[in-house]
Amino acid sequence: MTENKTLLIKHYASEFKIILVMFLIFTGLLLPVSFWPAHVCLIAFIFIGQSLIKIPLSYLFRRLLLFLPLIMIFSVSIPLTQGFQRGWDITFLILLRSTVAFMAMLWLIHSMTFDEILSSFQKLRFPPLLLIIISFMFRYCFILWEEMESMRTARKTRTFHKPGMIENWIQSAHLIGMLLIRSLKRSERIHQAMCSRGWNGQIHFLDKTNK
Amino acid sequence: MHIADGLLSSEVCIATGVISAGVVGYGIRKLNQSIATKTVPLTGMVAAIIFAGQMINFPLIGAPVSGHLLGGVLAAVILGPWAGCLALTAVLLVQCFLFSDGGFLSLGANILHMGVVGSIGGYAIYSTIRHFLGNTPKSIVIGSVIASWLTVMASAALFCIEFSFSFQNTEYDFSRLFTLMITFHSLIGIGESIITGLLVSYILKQRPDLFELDQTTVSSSQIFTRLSISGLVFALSIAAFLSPLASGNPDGLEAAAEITGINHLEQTKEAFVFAEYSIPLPDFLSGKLENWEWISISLAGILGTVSVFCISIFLGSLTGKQNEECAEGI
Repeated sequence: MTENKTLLIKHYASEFKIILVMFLIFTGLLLPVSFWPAHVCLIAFIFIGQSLIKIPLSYLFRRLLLFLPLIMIFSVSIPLTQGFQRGWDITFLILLRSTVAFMAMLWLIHSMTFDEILSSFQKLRFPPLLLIIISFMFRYCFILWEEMESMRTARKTRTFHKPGMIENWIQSAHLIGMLLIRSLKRSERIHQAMCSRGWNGQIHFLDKTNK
Repeated sequence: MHIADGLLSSEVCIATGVISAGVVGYGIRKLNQSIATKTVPLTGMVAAIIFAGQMINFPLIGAPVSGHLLGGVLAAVILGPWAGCLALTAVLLVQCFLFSDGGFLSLGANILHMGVVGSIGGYAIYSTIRHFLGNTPKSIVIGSVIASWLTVMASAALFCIEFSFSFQNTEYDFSRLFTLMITFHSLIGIGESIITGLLVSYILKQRPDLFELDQTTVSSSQIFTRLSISGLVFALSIAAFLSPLASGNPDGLEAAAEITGINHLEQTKEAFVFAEYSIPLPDFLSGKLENWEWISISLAGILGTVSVFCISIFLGSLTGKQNEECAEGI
């Protein structure tokens, strides 16, 4: 009996993670600002979880430093527009809630690989077409990134002056456009290659739990 | 740009999630029916391009920030509305689960803004304009430029509505916050429309076959749905400029201050707070125009609209010339 149970948990580990994180974010969203100690407890719980899977503190700090100012600008503009007297409770509420949600998402992302996330979505009955599109996109992203870097280098070697703003905009738009035209051809080629190898619209993910 | 978790209440998250799940589900059905399986890898590729294109910054002189592509209209123009919506959904999902950019529960709202309004609404506007301007290369550029500005405004208006629903129970007046949002987004929208226009005119020059230029027969029911959807998006972006007026139900003191023109006490209190985003009232008019705040917001709207129209016509004329040159060269 117990063996069965542990197996069940092991089998559904990644789905369990996703549902747990969703539950955490939802709890954070439902709690009003007067329950701020609960928010702090949630953050502490998530932080312990994060340190268990050894997310480096510096990384966490850097991500929060990128994320919090944006939220801060928006949330502080509420009391700003109320003449600095009112609206601070909404500011704190937004800050607390978004910190809980952000930390929980970071925890989820770092405890699974992207393929694992996709395969667990497959188990959660996510529409397969969307998953196929996402996995295609994920693969193409790295190829495109490399191609873009090489195009940028080529552009740099050929421009002898620092472009002005308007020129820079036009050049950047042309860069994206060129990337698009090249990669449309590439995707057609890849699709033909896949068809010739017998692709039938099914996709399979590398999943540790399935082994 | 993405809505993080915590900005919207759980009810609003669920409501927007249900709406966008419905639309995305319908889009998947639609794509499954017409399964030229080629569209699936193509959609993935366009999603990847939008993702990569968002990494390229467009610098603004004199501002510490820089703009980037949003891509809803671009995806719709190349892939069609439903596949475009799916591509944007894929981009948002990856951004959420790989970079934790944008919240988990507010994914529904993000997909609604960028995928549904951005792609489907944008396509409706684009194709309507293209149809009425006579299906020329110029009309494609003009249509995509105007569509991208209107969709950005419509998404901003939607966000304001969602935000005011999220904090319904508080007695605060968000009208100034919304004015700020709308003002920022009209600028973001102008940037987006320039980028989209440049991109579309470049692609049009290189691969005109992607736009099905000879497609002239459109059924009347299609025109009707497109007209109604674009009317909806247009109404939303109009609402963007009206929302500060509608929700601005000023309390007694403020109303009195507005009626008497300028209240000195009020001014000294808020002088250091950037509370007034409207264009300041000229001195000689004070007291004569009670509704200056309203008029200034509408003025901002008119200015934005006019500038977008100028941009679209400029870019359109540019592509027309280039095409003629190409034809002559051949």
